[in-house]
Amino acid sequence: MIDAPGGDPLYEDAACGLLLTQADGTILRVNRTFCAWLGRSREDLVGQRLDTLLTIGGRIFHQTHWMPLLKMQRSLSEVKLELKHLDGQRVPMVMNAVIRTRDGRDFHELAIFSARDRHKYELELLRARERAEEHLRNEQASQKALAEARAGLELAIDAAQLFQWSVQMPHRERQYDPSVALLLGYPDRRAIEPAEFTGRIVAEDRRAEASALDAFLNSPADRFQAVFRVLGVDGVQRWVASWGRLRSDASGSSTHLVGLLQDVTQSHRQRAEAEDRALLAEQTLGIVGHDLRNPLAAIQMAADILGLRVLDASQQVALGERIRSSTRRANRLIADLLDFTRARTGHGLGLSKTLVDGHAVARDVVAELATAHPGRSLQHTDIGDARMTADGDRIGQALGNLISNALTYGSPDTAVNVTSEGRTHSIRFSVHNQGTPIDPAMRPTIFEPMTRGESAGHLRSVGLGLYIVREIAVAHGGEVDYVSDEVSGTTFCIELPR
Amino acid sequence: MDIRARNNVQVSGEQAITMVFAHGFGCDQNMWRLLAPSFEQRFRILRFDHVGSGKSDLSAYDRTKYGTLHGYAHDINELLDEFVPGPAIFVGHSVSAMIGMLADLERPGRIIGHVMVGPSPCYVNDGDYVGGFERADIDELLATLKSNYLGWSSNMAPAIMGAPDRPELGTELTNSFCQTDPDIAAHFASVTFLSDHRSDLPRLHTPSLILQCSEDIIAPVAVGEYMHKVLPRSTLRIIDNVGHCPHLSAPSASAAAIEDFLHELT
Repeated sequence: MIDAPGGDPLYEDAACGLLLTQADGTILRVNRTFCAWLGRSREDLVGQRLDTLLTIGGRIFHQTHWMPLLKMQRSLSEVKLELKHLDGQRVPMVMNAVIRTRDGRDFHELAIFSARDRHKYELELLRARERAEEHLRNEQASQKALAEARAGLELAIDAAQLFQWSVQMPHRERQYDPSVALLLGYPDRRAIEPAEFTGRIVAEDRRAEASALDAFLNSPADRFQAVFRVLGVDGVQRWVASWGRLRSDASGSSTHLVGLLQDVTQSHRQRAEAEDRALLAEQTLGIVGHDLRNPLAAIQMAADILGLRVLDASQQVALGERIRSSTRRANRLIADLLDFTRARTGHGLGLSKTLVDGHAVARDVVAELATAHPGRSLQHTDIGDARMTADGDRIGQALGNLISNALTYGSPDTAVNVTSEGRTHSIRFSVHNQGTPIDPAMRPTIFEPMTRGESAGHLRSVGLGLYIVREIAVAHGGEVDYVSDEVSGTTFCIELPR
Repeated sequence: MDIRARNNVQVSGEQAITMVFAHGFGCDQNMWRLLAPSFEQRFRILRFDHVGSGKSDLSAYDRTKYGTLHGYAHDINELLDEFVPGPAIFVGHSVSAMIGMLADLERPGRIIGHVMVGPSPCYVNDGDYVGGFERADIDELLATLKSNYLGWSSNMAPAIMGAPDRPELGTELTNSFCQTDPDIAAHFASVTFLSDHRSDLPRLHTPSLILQCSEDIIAPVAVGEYMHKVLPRSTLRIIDNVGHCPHLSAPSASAAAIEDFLHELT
């Protein structure tokens, strides 16, 4: 090419800059196209070294990267350079180069293309890459923040002993986190099938839980909430509170419910105990305030009468009997109240068992109450051998309560029949009276303390007496029950093991 | 850690003395392919790529460790531990001359001679000291590196031209040398061109050859003269060459100068 005839338009006006340099970069020949692109004359360029046309930064790059490459490969392609225009502007260019040896000397043949658009495009790519890298950094930062938040959430869930469950829409498939196994009494986390979980909800609560969830999913409110009991594989029944909230996708349709479960047995028990204590206080006050007032009022009245006028002998006897009867009732109430309080605060009734004869116990109580109620017919029947190991005083107390009730509620003109019956393994005491049967609605609560008659107007403390009867029966390992109807009247039975 | 893979270490020969060839910024161990063969007869040859260059393990590139030349010097001593049982002659191009010096100062006694090809202890002018560049030039270099993204990472060179004189360098190799990650190249460039190890020069008492090119914009003659003045046991040889890579553009003259130095040394 060094021999190419000057002025050849194919060379001079080629579609690219064409240069010939020595191995050290000194320009030997340059075409018109290149001169025009840089605004420089041929005289200006020939004899100069190519790298003087580069920026200083470009020169370092050229010397440290491209020149070694060219020397090793003896050719280069698509090297990007910025060359200085005469007016000081920089012209981005792309260079191909090849080393040719002529007469033992190396020459560099260069073809150089203007690359303004490619340069712009590359800058765009570079900026896009920087933006992408920034997005990546942001994304990584978000991921990190998310991971930290998740770790915090897991810690909170762990510390609060919460368990996760979910419901996938639209088919309402439940899913339970393996940790839910702990709630079901398993020693470790394990996969819990939805059917197993719902199967472990106690039967009374299962339908309520399912219908509450269905109702929530049919018309979602702020959040789902339910409390139910589950029977664990360890035999422990736990109270479980369940919460859930619906999540939606971008279009607003519900995708799933995220839920938490919590073992609220402890707080449930504490609340029940607190309610119990409040009830106990209320009941105690009720007994003291109402039931004790009646006998005290009767005694007060008797005392007033004694102070007002002189009485004849029969009147004195009658008044004395009224005072005795009221005092007995007050004493019984106080004894009941003490027993009741002991039983309710968990101290138990306290039995001292000895070998006793059930018939004798019944006979004594009947005799005592017959004296106290001279106008009433009270009969005792004994059947079989009624020897047993029991607390005779307590059994007497229970029978006394039943007989007092029978005298109070039975028709005054009919007898109250008391039977003590020795059976093979148990002793059965029954107290029967005629009269208006017990309202069937009272059956579920009749042995609960402070259960009273249907209207507050003529209530009386039946419940405390029956409560204590039941407590005594249970303390002996026995039970109490009753039958009541219009025809055969009312019979309470205590059945105790020998 | 597999140092051989980390630094793409290539060892040949069984001779007692090992010549360790360390490339400079911008390229890789391929740049020794014209010079190293001159010494294969008498020396064991070790060539490698700095971490972040050539075919080194890029995942080992740690911006903190390689934030100063000491990180690279530390690697040199690991290479000497692992692959050089006897004495070593350290041939370092450009910034690697300083890396070799730092390795020697860190663990003296293992390198018996330094061949410094186009070395510079400081590239930036500083008062009376002429390094060749202003700080702004270095910033411009970094900008240039950035905008030549494809120049570093391009694997797609179309190889439009043959290399008829050197068929062994097949066309498929075009632009395939000296590739690396552009971000690492930019970091290495700033660490290299902003380094200043002038104060370390007087502490090096190992015999050193300063191979200075007559015209080199990266390491001008003034820098070679400065080094010769400050470096205690140094020899300055100026080779008639334009450019920064005499081992490529003047391999014979370079080899001859090194032979002279080695002759005195060994």
